[in-house]
This record gives sequence, structure tokens and C-alpha cells, in this order.
Amino acid sequence: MPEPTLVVERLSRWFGGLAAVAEVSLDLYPGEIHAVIGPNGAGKTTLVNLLSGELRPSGGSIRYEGRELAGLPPHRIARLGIARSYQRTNVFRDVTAFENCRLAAQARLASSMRFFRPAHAYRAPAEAAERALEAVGLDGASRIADTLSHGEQRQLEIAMTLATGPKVLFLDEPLAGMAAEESARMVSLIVRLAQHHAVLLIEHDMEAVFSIAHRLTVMVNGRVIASGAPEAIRASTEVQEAYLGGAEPHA
Amino acid sequence: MPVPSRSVRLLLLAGFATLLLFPLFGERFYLQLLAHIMLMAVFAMSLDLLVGFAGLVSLGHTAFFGVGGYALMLLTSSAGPANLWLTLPVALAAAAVAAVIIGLLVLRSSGVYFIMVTLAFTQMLYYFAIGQKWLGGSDGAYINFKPRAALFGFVPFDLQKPLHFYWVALALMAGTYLLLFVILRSLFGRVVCAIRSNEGRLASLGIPTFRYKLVCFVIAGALAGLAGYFASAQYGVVNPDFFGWRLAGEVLMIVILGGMGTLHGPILGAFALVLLEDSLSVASKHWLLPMGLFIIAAVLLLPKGIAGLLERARA
Repeated sequence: MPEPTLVVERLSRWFGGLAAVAEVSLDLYPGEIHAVIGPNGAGKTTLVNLLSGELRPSGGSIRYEGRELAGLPPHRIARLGIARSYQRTNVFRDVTAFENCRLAAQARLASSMRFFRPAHAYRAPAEAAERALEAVGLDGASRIADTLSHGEQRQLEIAMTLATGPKVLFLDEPLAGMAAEESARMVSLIVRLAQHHAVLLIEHDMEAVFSIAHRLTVMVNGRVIASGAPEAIRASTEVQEAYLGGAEPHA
Repeated sequence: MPVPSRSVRLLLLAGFATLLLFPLFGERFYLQLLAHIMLMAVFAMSLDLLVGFAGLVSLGHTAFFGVGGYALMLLTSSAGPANLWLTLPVALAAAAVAAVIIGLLVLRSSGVYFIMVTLAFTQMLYYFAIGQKWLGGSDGAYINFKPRAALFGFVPFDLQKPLHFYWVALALMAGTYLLLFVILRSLFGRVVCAIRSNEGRLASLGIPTFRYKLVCFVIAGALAGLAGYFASAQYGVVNPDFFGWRLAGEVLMIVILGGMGTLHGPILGAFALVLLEDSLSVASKHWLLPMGLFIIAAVLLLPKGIAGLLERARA
């Protein structure tokens, strides 16, 4: 049994009297797709924001390769090899898709405090950007990000996280708003990514989640109500009740 | 960084050639005015690095212009001229240190708050300068001698001569343009431009944005100090208005009028605004009214400034 890459223990975040995330524990193994599902407002995105450092946890711990992440700023966490994508497309809108990915790859250089040599003379970030764009199958690298279609922007979002060369990926609803064909391509991409990355997947598309996730964690009102293999989750009456009084899980 | 189109580049080159040749055919009276404009262009380019590239709208950029000017005044004795090569680095270092200190405090805020706290800092310096006798108080102080450029007995140029001063101002403007051009296309420059676009995402990709903003702020501050040093040398005087919000507003206006986020924009803006001010103030004592109307019209009709107009004229 390999060691888990990421171990989250009793992680909490309070907003005033409201526990957006309450004592959530989960772990993530290399090569694994671990999906987090739950109804709207369950605290899934807050959980990702805690894990990526954009929010400070009120309590609990996040251990990654033996290191404590809780309380570290986002750029420190990113540099340890953890990359996240955003539920709402969050790119540099005024530059090309290629430049978006090149910037992402540049972020992994030891330092960008380099003032004289032109950025385009650095080969490694450019090559990483090209690989990332190819991996997600995004054509139109030279187009300004703002002019890309919604689906293409979602692809770009993922390509940027890949361009940083991460070991762990937090994907926050990568399929949101995608057409069926784009969605199918993204699903197969996520499966391929899982061969070399540990993937924490937040997703609303239940069909996709149950077909590719190795494990699922179900959150309701900030708490984990169930965690386990897809079959076990599908069979759980507690989970079914949490979703609209016993209807088929959607999120 | 948006690179100007070919025809605009040619136009800029023609403008530069005209400035190079101007002393051959132009009236000597205009040398001083043009030198003043070119120093304002240096000042405006340094502000544009913050406003147009990093997205940091500062209303307090005069703080560093003033420090550069006051530094020269303090370093010039009443007995004779100071040495340029000794006092200029000190003045630049003083402006840079001021930018580190102010930057550490103001860069924690953003948006409207950033505008307000930068304004607050330059206003503090304004009132400090007024209150201090050794800085000349509200009247300011004279700089009786322009700095001498003697280097081990060799004097490459003499700032006392208007023609030489003109060449130096032209070289400073061209040098600042080239320096910022190189910096903006470097790895550092890409980070700076991305900060304006989406600072949060840059952090989540692994870039500690604060220190990049601080270094950017210090580079801009040092260049503003450079402009302030030579401006005070040119006028032979410094006064608290070097720190004043009027000048801060004027240089911001130059950047906006010329075209933010381009390097040639602030240069074009400096020429347009100062020449217009100059001709209007000669024509009428009520010149501020047409000046204001012009600025309103320019902002409404030229959202991307003169630089944007040139690109449109080409298309």
C-alpha cells in the first residue's frame, strides 16, 4: 500500500457562526481520482479554497508529503507541486492562450526576478506550455483568451494547471457548462492525468463522477456524510436521502 | 506588452529624429521647454509602469520625483556645483529607499484605497517639506549650481548650457524608454503585466505577487527620482509643489491622455499636454477652462489615448 500524497484531518472553516467546512477528513493517493460530491452549498469549493491556501483554515490539518500546508499562502502551496483549476474560468483574459500557459509554466522557475533576458528566450516554459495545450487538445494557442469559447476556456483552465508541472491536481468542476463532446474529451483527459497525478475532483456531473472516480466523498452542509468506493456510495441510503429526499444523486 | 505597429514605429522614429535635429533649425528658446517636456515624459513613463502595466493607479508618484529633486538641493553646497556622478546615484538611491518604505505600506491595499494611500503619502511629504526650515519651507530652496558632469577631469557635457541640457534630457527619455522596453519583455515584465490582469490567479500558479509589485514600485520610484533630479537642476529650485497633488494629477493625466499600457503613450502625452498648456496660457489668462474642456473631450473621445488614436488611424 503506497503512502497517501495528501492527508486532510478534521479541516474546518467557520464564517461567523456558520461552519462552511466542518471537520472534513479525507486522503488522496498517487494515481487516484478522488471525487468530492454534494448538493450546492455543501462546502466543496470552500474545501478546495482551504486546500489551495486561498482561505485560512479555522482548524485541522493538511499534510502533503509530510509537510503541513494549513496556513501557507497560495503561492507556497502551488510551488510544492499542487495545482488547482477554478469553477469559474479564471485566466489572464487579455493575452493569448499560449501566454496563459507559458505564464503558468514560468511560475515554476526558481525566480522570475529576471529583468534583461527576453521571456521568449526561455525555452522550458514555452515547451511546457505547448505540451499542456496539446494535452487538453486546445487549438488556437495564439488566440486571446477572452475570444475563446466557454468550452475552450475550460480547457485552457486545465491546461494552465498542467503547465505548472504539478503532482497533485484539484479540479473544481472541470465539466461545468461543457457540451457533451467536449465533456467526454475532458473525462478521458482526467483519466489519463490520473496515471501521473493524484486528482481531487469536484464535479456535478454524476454520470462522469461514478464512471471515473476511484473513491468518493459526499459532503452535505460542510460535513462528510459518506466516503468510499462508487458502488458503496451509490448503495448508501444516507446519501440518497441527502439528495432531495432519496432521488438519484445529482449535485 | 503591446508592440506598436510598423507605421507607428516609423512615426515615432521620425519624431525622435526631429528631436535629434531640432537644435540645428529650431529656436533656442524652445530647447528649455522641450527639455522640460522630455523630463516629464521620463516621469510619465515611470508612472505608466505602475498604472498601465502593473495596474497600480498611483496618485502619489510625485513623492519620488520630489525626493530626487530635494536630494540634489541638499547635496549641492552653496560654494559650488555638486558632482553629477556622485549625487545622481545618491538621489536615485534616496528615491528607491523612499519607494521601498512607502511601497511596503501602500501595496497592501488595492483599487481606490491604493489611490488614496499613495496620495496620502505624497501629501505627508508635501507638508513635511513645508514645515522644515532645512528644506526651505513653503518657499522651497534654490539650487544655485547645476551639477557638474566631471569624470576624472573629463567633462563630457555641461548642464549649464541649454543645448547640452537638451541632449541629456533627450538621452534620458530614450534611455528610460529602452530600459522599460527591455524590462517589460523579460520574465519580470510578464509577471508585472499579469498582475494587472489577474493577480489572484498568478498567486495560485506559484508567484509571490507582493514582492514583484514592490520591485516594480521601486523601479518606477527610482525613475521618477531621476526625472525629479534633472527637473530641479533645470529650474534651479525645489519647492513643496514637487510633492504636490497637482503635479501628481498632471502626470497621471499625461499617462491617460497619451495612452496607458504603452511606452510611447506617455511621451506623446507629455508633448501634447505641456505644449497645449503652454500655448493656451500664452493666449489667454482664462486658459484653464479650455484646458479642462480639452481633457474631458480627450478622455471621452480617446479611450486609449493618443497612442490608441494612432493605431486606429493606421487601421
